[in-house]
Amino acid sequence: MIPAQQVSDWAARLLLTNPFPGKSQRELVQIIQACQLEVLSDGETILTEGEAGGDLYFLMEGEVTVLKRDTDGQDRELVVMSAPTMFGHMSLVDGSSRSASCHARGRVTVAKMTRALYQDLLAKPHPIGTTFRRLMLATLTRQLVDGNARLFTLIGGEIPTTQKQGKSPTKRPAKTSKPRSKASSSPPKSTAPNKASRTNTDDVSRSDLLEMAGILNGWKVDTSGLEDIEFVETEADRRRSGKSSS
Amino acid sequence: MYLLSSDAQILSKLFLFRQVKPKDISELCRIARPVNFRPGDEVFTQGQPADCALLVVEGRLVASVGSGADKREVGDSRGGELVGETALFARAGKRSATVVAAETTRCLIIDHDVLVASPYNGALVAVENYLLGSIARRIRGTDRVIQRVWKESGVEDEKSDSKGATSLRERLSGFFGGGR
Repeated sequence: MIPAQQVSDWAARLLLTNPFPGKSQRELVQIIQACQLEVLSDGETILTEGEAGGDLYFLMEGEVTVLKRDTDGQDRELVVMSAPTMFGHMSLVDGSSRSASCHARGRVTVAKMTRALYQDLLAKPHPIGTTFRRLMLATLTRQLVDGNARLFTLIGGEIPTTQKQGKSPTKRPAKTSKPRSKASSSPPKSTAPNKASRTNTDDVSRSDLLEMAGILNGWKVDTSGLEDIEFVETEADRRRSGKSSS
Repeated sequence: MYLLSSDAQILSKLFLFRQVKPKDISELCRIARPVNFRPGDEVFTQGQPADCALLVVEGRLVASVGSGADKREVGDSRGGELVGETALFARAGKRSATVVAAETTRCLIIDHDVLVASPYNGALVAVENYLLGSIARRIRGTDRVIQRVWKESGVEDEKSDSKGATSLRERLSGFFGGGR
């Protein structure tokens, strides 16, 4: 059992990286409370690439290693995800099989959302349903925009967005000069080299493609900069939250 | 019995809103501002800041990327379809394509205020569920192309020589139109 305050803090941090119109921390906490909490030991498998997807996971505590099989049949480490984040959602959205495998890295706590709960939340126009639907949309939009931005960088085209993600819409981070990584805030053991200074004439490798597939499939969520930000709920947020819970 | 505005009448006949109550469609038409375009009007410009999406009520919009000789049409949108939807859920984004009215077109502006004003409106729920599917399809579509390029590349990963690597970039550019 995770203490209520800890779930609330977790929800605030997730909303920081995945903001959306009418976001409500209270409803997100209720969503987590409707899920099934599971504690996993180091190395335990959570998802297996290629299997049918049945559940969505919120990573509450700990880290998860994401592996993807390359064309030679070798498992390649895409990223190490840190809480708070969600994963396994793509299979629920489009019925596809798992695009990567996930293993607990150390002790991990996840909140598991079943397909039945997922479908129930998406279908209904109630406060919790709206929060969940928009959280999903914010997450998917981010995957798409990040993936496209990476793609355009690789092929030397114009990057269609200048998004600075992981930054609070209500408060500027104290440090603005901190370099951003494309993976989690903890150093991932990604096999992909650093592409921060890529130019049009640089090469594109299969690692680049692997990395982008990871971004598109929601495995490489950028949470850099989180440690610099204190979540601040504005008056407008509070009004919306109060309105959405009435 | 609900008296629907002309916009609401048109929307109520669209597949997207087939299960939505008339009062919810009417509410959406009341809170979302309408906008009209003449043939040739530029609706969105590639690279410009994006802060709203357009729900096409009737007419047709055409999206293209690039300019001059490199200009390439990438799709069109008709009644019941949403244009510029990533602006709703992505911060400080920019338009990834230029959108022009191909014929006389009427749209409703869907922005942050509309989503906040009526979060449980059945018509918006229908739009959001439609978006979940369409964004997921776009993600999968891009992913499939990347996998295809990867499988066809025939080069070793980190050891790829410059010739093979350039080929990868060229293939990606061919699919997505890079170097503009």
